Amino acid sequence: MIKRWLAVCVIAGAAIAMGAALTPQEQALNEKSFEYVWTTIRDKYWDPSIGGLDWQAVHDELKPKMQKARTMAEARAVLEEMLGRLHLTHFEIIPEDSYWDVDGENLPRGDGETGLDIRVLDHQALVTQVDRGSAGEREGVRSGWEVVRAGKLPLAPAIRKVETVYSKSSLRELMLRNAVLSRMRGYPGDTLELEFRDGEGRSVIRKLRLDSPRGEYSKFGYLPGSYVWLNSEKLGGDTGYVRFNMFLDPAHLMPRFADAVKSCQECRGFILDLRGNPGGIGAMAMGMAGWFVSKPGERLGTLYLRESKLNFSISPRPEVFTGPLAILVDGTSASTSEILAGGLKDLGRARIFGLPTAAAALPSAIEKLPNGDGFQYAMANYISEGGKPLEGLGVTPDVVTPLTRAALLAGKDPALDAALEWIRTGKLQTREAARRGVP
Amino acid sequence: MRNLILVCLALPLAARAQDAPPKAETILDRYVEVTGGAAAYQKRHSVIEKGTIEMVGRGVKGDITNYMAEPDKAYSVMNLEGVGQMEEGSDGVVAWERSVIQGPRVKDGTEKTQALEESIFNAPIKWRQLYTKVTVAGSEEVNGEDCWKVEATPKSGNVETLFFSKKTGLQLKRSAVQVTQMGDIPAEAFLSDYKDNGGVLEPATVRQRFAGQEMVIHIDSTDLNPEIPASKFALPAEIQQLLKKPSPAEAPAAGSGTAGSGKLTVYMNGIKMATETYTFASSDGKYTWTGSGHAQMGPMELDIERYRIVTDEKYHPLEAELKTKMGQIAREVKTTFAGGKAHNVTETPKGPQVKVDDVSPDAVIMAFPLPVFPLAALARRISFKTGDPQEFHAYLLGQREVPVTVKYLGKDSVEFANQTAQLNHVSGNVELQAGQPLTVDLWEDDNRRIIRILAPSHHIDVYQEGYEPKPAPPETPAAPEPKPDPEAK
Repeated sequence: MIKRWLAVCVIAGAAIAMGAALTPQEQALNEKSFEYVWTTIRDKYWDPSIGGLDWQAVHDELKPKMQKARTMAEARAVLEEMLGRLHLTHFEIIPEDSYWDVDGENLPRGDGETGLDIRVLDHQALVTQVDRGSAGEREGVRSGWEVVRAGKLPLAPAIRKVETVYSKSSLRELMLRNAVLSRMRGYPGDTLELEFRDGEGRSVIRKLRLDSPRGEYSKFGYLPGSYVWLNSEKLGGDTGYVRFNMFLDPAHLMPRFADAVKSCQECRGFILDLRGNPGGIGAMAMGMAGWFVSKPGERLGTLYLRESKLNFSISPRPEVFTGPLAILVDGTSASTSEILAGGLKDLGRARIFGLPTAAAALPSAIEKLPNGDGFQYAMANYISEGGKPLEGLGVTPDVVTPLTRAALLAGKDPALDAALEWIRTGKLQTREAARRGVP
Repeated sequence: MRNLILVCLALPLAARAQDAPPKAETILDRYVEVTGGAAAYQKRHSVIEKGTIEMVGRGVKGDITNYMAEPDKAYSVMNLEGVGQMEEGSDGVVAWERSVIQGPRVKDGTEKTQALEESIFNAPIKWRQLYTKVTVAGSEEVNGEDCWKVEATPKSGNVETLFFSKKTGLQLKRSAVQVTQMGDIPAEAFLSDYKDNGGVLEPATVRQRFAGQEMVIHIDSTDLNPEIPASKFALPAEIQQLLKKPSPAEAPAAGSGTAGSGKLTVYMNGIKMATETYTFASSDGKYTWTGSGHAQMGPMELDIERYRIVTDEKYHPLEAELKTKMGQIAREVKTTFAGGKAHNVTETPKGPQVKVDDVSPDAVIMAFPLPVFPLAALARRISFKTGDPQEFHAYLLGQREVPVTVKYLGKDSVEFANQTAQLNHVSGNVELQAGQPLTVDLWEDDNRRIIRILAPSHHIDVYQEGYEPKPAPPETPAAPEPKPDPEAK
């Protein structure tokens, strides 16, 4: 969802070089941007007292600094200082030129898919999953291979750029994944040449004929249309497994989710894989939780708006799965994924496996500032049922399963393996044991 | 056409009304008149409305169809783009909703009551049935039009503020805290675009604001008195399936089944002072305790003609009623609970008196000094899994809320004149009167039935029917009175 909003905010126009002196017009736009950001926080921040800050004093203190800013970097520093007073994530100034390098219009277009999923580890874009029957599998791509180049675009500069822009952000992993995947696109039927580095460090070139996108095309409000898919299966014949790419298109997704749970009532356990899921419609978290929580009156958490609050209440379904529930997450699990995983963890209903989540659970908007930069701000605060905000903290797994290239090359999935072990034996694989399991 | 004439006729009344506010009753009656009059409403027996819905600023649109029929049947189905189908309905007894996102859900508590009231057909002409109290709370502009502001208190749920144009008498706005699954949400609805539907003027456009969102519903067509098959209002299979599931209070951990009764005898200083009989019933998502009793306190006789408490399944009080007679003095209090307030209406020879108290949503409703059987409601809620203090709130009907602390002390072997029973012992503290803390010991069986209550400081001992008090031990000679101190001043 965050990526999509970013895409919405991409604007045309020449990028302004960092450090270049400002024209009087640019200076005026920066001052307008200053007022826009300040006023937005004043009027839309969920706590009218702005966390006890004297917001007018912040304005009066920083306004002269903005007037003196002579470069875009200096102007952004003033805005970032203003937002920094809130001590929260999801309040960011995103330089206009970074959009171009992350999701810009100069990147390949089209919905054609390689069937590969990616995570960036140690500055390397690694294949973490190769979908069955996908273009990637047909060409023999393996988990753990590093993607070095997509078409004519080398990935390293984009990775460096995103790592710099999001160096302090919990969204870093999510944005890195998006940056890489956005370069591995094309139209269905196009051939995309990918350069990999295999486990031995050898360069491997593969030409992938891109597949049509998986799932159903769905449009929700002003979000750009997306293809939404859900994969369900029984692992080992007795453990339910569901993975889906985002919390959208409930008309198709929820019935399929329901079928997956209903067909697994006698299963030994159930695994919900939310890795790579950036969120979507928040209410879907409540609807899904209803398949696993039988006690009425429970809730995942509470969303605090400026004038009211919304309880994320769970309505138990007529047929609830009551066996062990494992949820897999990582740094690319955001928003609604965190609300669902965090809430079920707090209720003691699910055990969480994987890596800390993106800590980006607030409903936020990204707007275009007069100076062309992006301005992301949260409109509400969300407190999970355990009493802690997910924003900035995310969901910490009960069982942390570090992802390594060695594990991927060995065909292992540490988080999934640990969850299966727990469901099958009732015992938890410790972090050390998980490490020992890596060849 | 008839409505237009009525609106014109109403104008002189509006002009006169500029000087002093009319009675709220007059404003509501006038609304009925200007929208067509009671007779026009009574010609309507069923309606199907079709329209559109839009989430403003979010790009989400859809269509909506409402089916309504006498006396209280309702079913609505909405299809939102990118979201799917959402339904809600009521057969007059059960209020429910079902959506592709949340699945099926049966409404309970205040949300249910609110939904059932909203399902009442031809509601405008039944406002006296729907509201226990209406008052004029001044005037305010709505979209530039001067309006009377009427505060209407429903039988349950939160007070609604209704805005009626001084000029036309039409309702232009409603604001209330809406009870939903996601909590109590302040909502404002702006009504406009009144259209004549078979002699009754109705707003074709409703713009609602809630939780930072704005939603516009526009009714495009209204079909009057169509044949609506009964199946349209029937409970979906999934809802019926949910209704068959045991409620949490019916589960073994919560106690004793769904119905019961008791008869308590109250002794003061060993002398029989009062008897009370009561019943407990669980049905339709509500718990109801009903009882009556008689007390002889010295020369005074107290008849508890009726005492009734209704809560939802989470023990959140919905309504209470106490009717007593002490000598020739009759007292009748009817209380509704909503939005953190207890709204007490006491009948007096001078007319009804209203008292509104703050009250916790889960308060235990009690009466002081009698009857004592409402402690049965508290008895069901005490956890036997911990010996730690458990905090409750008790609302003394028509008076105030006081804190109650109880502690489970484990199982006791309690001796009675006719038997010995293994009972759960709970000790509680409550300050019924300022500066006079009262300690009460209570013994209940595993079915959460109160067997004995003891308040030593007030010399009160209460026994359930079938459990006889042991005879008092022979009196020992009283200690001699201390002699007065002649030096004392």
